[in-house]
Amino acid sequence: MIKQLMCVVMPCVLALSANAQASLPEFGVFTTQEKTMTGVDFEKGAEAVVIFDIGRAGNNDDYSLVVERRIRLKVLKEKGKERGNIEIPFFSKDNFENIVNIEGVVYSVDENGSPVITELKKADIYKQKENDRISMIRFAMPNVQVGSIIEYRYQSNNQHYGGLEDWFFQRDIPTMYSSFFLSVPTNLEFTYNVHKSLDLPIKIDNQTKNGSVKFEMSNIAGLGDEPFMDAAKDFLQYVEFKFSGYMTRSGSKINYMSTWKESARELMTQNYFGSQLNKKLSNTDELIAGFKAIEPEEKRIEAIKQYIFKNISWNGYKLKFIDNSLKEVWEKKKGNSGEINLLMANLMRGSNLKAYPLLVSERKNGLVGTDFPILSQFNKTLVYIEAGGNKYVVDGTDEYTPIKLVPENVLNTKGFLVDVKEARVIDLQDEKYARNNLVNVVYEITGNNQLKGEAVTTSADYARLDRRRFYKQNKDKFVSRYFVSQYPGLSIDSFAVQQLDDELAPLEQYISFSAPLQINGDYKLLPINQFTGLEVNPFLNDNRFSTINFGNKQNLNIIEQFVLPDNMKPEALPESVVLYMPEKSMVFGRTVSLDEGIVTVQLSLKINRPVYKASEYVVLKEFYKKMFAYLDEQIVLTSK
Amino acid sequence: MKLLFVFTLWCTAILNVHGQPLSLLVNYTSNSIPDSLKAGADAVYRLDEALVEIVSPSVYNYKVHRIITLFNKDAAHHLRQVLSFDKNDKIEELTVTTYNSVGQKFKTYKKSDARVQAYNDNVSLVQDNKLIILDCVAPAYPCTIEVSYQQRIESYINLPGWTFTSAGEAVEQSKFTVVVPASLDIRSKMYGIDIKPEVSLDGNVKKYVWEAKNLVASKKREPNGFVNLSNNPTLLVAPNNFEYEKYVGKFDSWKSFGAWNYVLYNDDKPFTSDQATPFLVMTADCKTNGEKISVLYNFLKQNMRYVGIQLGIGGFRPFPIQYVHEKKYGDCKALTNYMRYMLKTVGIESYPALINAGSNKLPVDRTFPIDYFDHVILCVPQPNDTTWLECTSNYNAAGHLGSFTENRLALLLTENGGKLVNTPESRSSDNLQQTNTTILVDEEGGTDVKQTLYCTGDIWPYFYYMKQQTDADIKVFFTKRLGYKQGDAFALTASADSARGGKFQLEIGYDQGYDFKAGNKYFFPQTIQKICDLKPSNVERTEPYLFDHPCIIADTTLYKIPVNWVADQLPADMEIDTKYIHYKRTISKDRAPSSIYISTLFEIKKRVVAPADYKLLVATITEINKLEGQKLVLKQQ
Repeated sequence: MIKQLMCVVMPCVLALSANAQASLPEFGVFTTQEKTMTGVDFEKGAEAVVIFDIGRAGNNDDYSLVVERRIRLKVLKEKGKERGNIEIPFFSKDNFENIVNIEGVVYSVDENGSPVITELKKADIYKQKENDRISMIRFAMPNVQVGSIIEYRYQSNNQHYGGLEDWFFQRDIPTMYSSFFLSVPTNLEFTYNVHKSLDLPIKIDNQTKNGSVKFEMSNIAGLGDEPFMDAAKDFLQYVEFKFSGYMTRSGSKINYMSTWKESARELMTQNYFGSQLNKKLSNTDELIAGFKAIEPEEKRIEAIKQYIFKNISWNGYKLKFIDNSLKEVWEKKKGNSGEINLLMANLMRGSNLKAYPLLVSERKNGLVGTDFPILSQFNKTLVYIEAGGNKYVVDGTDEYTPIKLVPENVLNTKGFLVDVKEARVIDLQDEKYARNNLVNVVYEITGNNQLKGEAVTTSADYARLDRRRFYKQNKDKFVSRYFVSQYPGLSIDSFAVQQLDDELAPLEQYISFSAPLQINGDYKLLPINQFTGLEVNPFLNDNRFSTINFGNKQNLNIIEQFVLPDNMKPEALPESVVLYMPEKSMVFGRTVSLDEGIVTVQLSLKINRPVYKASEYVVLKEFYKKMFAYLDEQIVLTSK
Repeated sequence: MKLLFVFTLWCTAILNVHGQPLSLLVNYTSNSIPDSLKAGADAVYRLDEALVEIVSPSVYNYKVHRIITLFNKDAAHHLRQVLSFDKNDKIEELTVTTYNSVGQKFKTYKKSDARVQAYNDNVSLVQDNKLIILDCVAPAYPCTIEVSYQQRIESYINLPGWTFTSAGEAVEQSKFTVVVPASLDIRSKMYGIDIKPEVSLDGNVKKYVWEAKNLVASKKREPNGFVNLSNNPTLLVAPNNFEYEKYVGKFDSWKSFGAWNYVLYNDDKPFTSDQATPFLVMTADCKTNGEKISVLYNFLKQNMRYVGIQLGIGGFRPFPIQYVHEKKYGDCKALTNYMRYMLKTVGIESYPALINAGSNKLPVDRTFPIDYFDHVILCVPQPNDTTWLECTSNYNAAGHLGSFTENRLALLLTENGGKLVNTPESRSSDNLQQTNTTILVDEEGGTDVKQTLYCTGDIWPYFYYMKQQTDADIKVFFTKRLGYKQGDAFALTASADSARGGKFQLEIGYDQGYDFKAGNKYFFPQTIQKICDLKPSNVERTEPYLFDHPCIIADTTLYKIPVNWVADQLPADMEIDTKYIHYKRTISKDRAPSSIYISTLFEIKKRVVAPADYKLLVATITEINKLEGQKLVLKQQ
């Protein structure tokens, strides 16, 4: 969005200065320390390490944005050689951005131990268009070996400061030093947000007078994927920028989006967003009259969502704004996600519903900072509706999520309700609905050492959503995933689902099954961890960098009854146990009892709080370790 | 008036017989489809017709016209039309129209409604294929979609083939036409169906028409099986002559296609004498050609990296040797040819071999030459043996191909043209994982574990990739990927890689070494890792089942228990030997005081399991999983 707003940069005198990196070696000149380095202490065993990553942004004589980038890294393992394959994406639509002055050099040692410097040749640099917006520069650095030091630099020329991108100090491999220097024309005001871990220092040199700022961080470990992690970006160390206004020639100050309300007011006037909401679409009178007649309002919302889903095709682009007017989208019957949801809001508003566009950032896109109305942090537009005293968040491109649930991909995030009067940032939580699974199983031991049983699983709310979606997409894999995979050798004798399409009722799954009984000498072993979905402990890493987001609250209850043969008894029953996380944010319980030849095991896992900070990981990891140890216990039967 | 009506009908009948497009004979409603075709089908092609008009050895036009009725969301992929193109392949027209269930037109889309994006094969860094993607909307199911497109291809090696039905998709009418100058002519072969073409000659133009009606949907391919052309009724068509970017070739035999490729692999200026000298020095002390091959292959593995850059003829012709030598990278063609010229400098002849890669690929059809190939390996014939080299690998042992390219036909590119030869089939002993474990049990049931691990062949890559990870991730890898019991303390030391694979020493500490307790009995696992991690589905199969590879997983575990502990129950010795699996477990407690010794062997003898044997295989593996789940029951005296 910034790209569209910043075309009014006024003449100024700042240019790129070359004052900053005096201590860094010249391009292509490598130090002894770099040559002999075999790893870094802050991330042992890394495949490669970024020695430094330097960015400098300023303007040229035409007052357009120029960003110079210089990266030096060292290959430490065989896999790290792939770091020599470089891809630089850039925004090529309307020639907005261009990448020039690409240079590269590799330091290696040959088979005789002699140093070899190999330069990247211009002919080996490829420029290709990816789609109508993005192009890519690609090149493979030459003579990359384990131990090589790779260095490359380039310049990105942008039509204006709207091309300024956030600066990431961290990536998936460790970084020893990263810095970004920004200077802006004096008439241009900008703000920035630093996202960083408390235990990693940052140096910020803010020269307010001459409109420049420099950020520096050192020794940052790489961040890989972690279980139940949302956007990696949320946990990376980075600084984001936002331009807040400019001075006119007459010296008056024009503010851009300095508050959420102002931002909403601005957005509501824009052709690419709010001005579309009340546009009348052709041949919709009859349709809207039909919608208006639907009562109560909840059913009207559902009807409009279904109409949109069935009649307007999503072209696969996940965008928050429109590329084509809603009239064109309505005519062509297809559009990007922003177009579809704004169209849905348009129809809803026309049908007397209080519907507002809601800018959201999906969990995989990153958290929303609320200090400043930075629109670039949102990646999608949904529709927020107030009706009958309830609030709904609806996505017209989502086939499966019923309107009563907040879409899972935005759960526990924040959304920006865009409206002239009602503008605000809202929390997208679901206090009402959880992932609810109840499993009832009865096992019987047959004479031929088989375990036969019947199970009924009742899945409600978010559990129903997940399972219904999976079932509709692949029934065979559904059965395997939820019922077979936990017990090798388990065979399904019959399987049925009920209430698949009744959104108000839980999804019921009925199975009867048989499985070989585990014999251990004179003992027979009965596993208790069946149909729980808790097969593998996901929390195996010693350390954790990111927040754990389970998405929603969860209630898992399993009741297992083992009908024992007359001649068998338990050697000893597993203990009844309860595990708590602090403040009972998570509770696991196991009770075991024997009554008239029937062993009853009740397992329950309640996740009362879906989000945990990385600092809580140690306790959570221990909780899971103990829980899995309890789940792995088996009932040992012996002869009477 | 009546007379006129009758006359009109008569004219229509005549038109139908005399060349009216088939498309006008079908309608767009779903209710006229025979029930026999609807059964088990997600979609029915009312009409599926294509015309290949061969203009010359380098140019043909391809026109496709389809009318498809979609019954449900499993057929929704038709609503996204995706066509691939490049600089030699122009998409001249694309139109899609959707209709509702009663045949009323809903929406028409043109090429201008489509978007274009680069194709990403997830392997190449640079290549020039692009996709044109047209998304359409379905009013509601059932609905009908009509698709027309036209391409002009100005360089080719293969010609379009034709699939008559596919999984879940039946066909009312299917027609494939090839028009070709008689002097060029074509070759063709059917798979999974036998349809004879109607062949006619009009002057110098030959016309082939294959036509089929009312074909029921193919069944879905079974998982873990071969990709088999015969699964769907398929017609392959091949040229006798072709021209790709001015490179003229014949395709009347494997020999001629090999000859065309061979020229592309020739390099007039490979190594200078200065560049060749190190190769001579490296191999100076080698006593056999086998040793020379290993030395140079190791040099290749250590110094080169795979980078895919495929542009135009570059998809067939390798980079020059000098380019690879300077850059130290290349794709499969380039690295194979580099290895070939290295061997040449030390007097060893070798041949690039084109191959269809993938662990689920069948050998190509020897009787029908066509370009099935997507990969190149190197064949080094020796008087008593042949060494095969996968030149894109940084870890394979010389001579080991693995399931990616083994046991199928490769087209050797020789000075005498192409020659089909078999690649070798690996044996279980080629893919070995051997562990030797000592477990020291303390009074509380905690354990200290020491293990040595040696692996080769297709098992070695798992550990090779593990080695590339950070220390923290390696610890997780052993539990998550290799099925090791989660430890509290962990240390791994890698020895220098052996000629055939890798060696490691592992130390793991467990606060609780046993799995669970019942009363005063401790239930310990037999091994700290999974020996058999297979979970085949218990389903009927009609197609062969494929293991990843034949292999041997062997472990010895020595439990050292406190002196006041005894074994309450130990699993019995067990051996299962079938056509495909050999499993043997022996447990003894008499080898040394306070010790229990467990020896386990799990062997997959053959990679391909006949469908008739599959149920037995599942039963065997279920039994082995049961045996592996048995515990050592120990107690304090």
